[in-house]
Amino acid sequence: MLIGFSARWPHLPVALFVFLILPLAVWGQLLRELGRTTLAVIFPFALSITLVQGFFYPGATHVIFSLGPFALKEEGLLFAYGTLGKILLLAGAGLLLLFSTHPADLILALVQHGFPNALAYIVVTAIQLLPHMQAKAMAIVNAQRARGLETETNLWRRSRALLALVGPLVFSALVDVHERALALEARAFSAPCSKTSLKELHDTREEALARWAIIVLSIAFIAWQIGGL
Amino acid sequence: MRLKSDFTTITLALIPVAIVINIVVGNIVQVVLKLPIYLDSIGTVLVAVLAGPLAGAVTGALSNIIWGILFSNPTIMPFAITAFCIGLVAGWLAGRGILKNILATIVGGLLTGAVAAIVSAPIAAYIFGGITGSGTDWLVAFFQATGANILQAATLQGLISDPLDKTISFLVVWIILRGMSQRYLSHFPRANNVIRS
Repeated sequence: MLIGFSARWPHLPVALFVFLILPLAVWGQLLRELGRTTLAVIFPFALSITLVQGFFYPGATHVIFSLGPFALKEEGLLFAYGTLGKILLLAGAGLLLLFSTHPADLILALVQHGFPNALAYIVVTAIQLLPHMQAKAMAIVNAQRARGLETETNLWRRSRALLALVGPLVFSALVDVHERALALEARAFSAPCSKTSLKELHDTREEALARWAIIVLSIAFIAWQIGGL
Repeated sequence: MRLKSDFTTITLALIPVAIVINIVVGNIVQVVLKLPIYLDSIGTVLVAVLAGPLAGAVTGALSNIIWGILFSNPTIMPFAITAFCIGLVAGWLAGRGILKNILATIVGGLLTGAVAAIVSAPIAAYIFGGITGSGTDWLVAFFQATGANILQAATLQGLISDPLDKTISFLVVWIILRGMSQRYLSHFPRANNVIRS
């Protein structure tokens, strides 16, 4: 399945994660990667939300134990659990899509379904450009450090270092922009004809059907949720 | 909206570079300098000023989505909505000529930050329970302890950190635009936003 994913917020996101995302990951042989990254994404949230909402959830009364002026409360922990479930589902589903589908395939699918070609250019270029710019950024950081720029002192000095790092990076990037535009024009980027693609997608009728089924199901579920409230 | 005249070839060449600027500068600020701000919308503001609100909004939204893809972190993708609004507001303000004057630039940054805070608070509150997993979370805890509900706490947290962040972003963009030659700037569709005649 390529793009058959629609977000939804059911009552039991954790169950959905365990019984839908994980089997799909096993099927796609992505379980280890998915598990590791999901944990890495979830951990800061888990820590922060348990502390903040566990102790400070508004209107909570059931105290589990107290630590000086602070008290761990039951409602807060329940809320933290519910929210973490949602984040888990969001992260799991998103990562499943990322690991199973190469970004270029996804973009191509979107363009073939009517999104503008420019979108494909923007996304693919940005993805390819990022490693170069990051290398350049590190080169600038090292160059400025070599000239005596302090990047590890107090807050005020680090703030002043900002422009010395960001300035050269942005200027050099902007100088490239004009050249890129000329190169694009020379390759007939804005020509009003349809373009052919190097890559080909295999999208079967069953997959298209499954996508529609998921969309209809999700809408029905959301309608049921709203109606039931 | 001037759709056709804003999305020229040079705008299309600028947008991916601006997206990468957002990501790389955001990274430098957080990883190398460890400053307590995000500064992940310099590219968005830059595009909004040079190529109009819609181009800025597209840049902002795609930045968050691509950031999520490349760093395998889907949890920042919902904030694409915030970035979209930042682009719209920055573009609209630039159309009013705020980048011709440094004081107006600061005011514009504060305004954009307020809008960003108001847009991102419901996202943070309903999807993430008010938490972003970053250093500003203790502010949320503080406001909840003083009696605010989750949405209020998330809004207040945003109203403290976002205007500061966006004002610095606007100032950086202002400095960058001062440094570019008028001949270079005149290639962009909304060059009149910044060129003083």
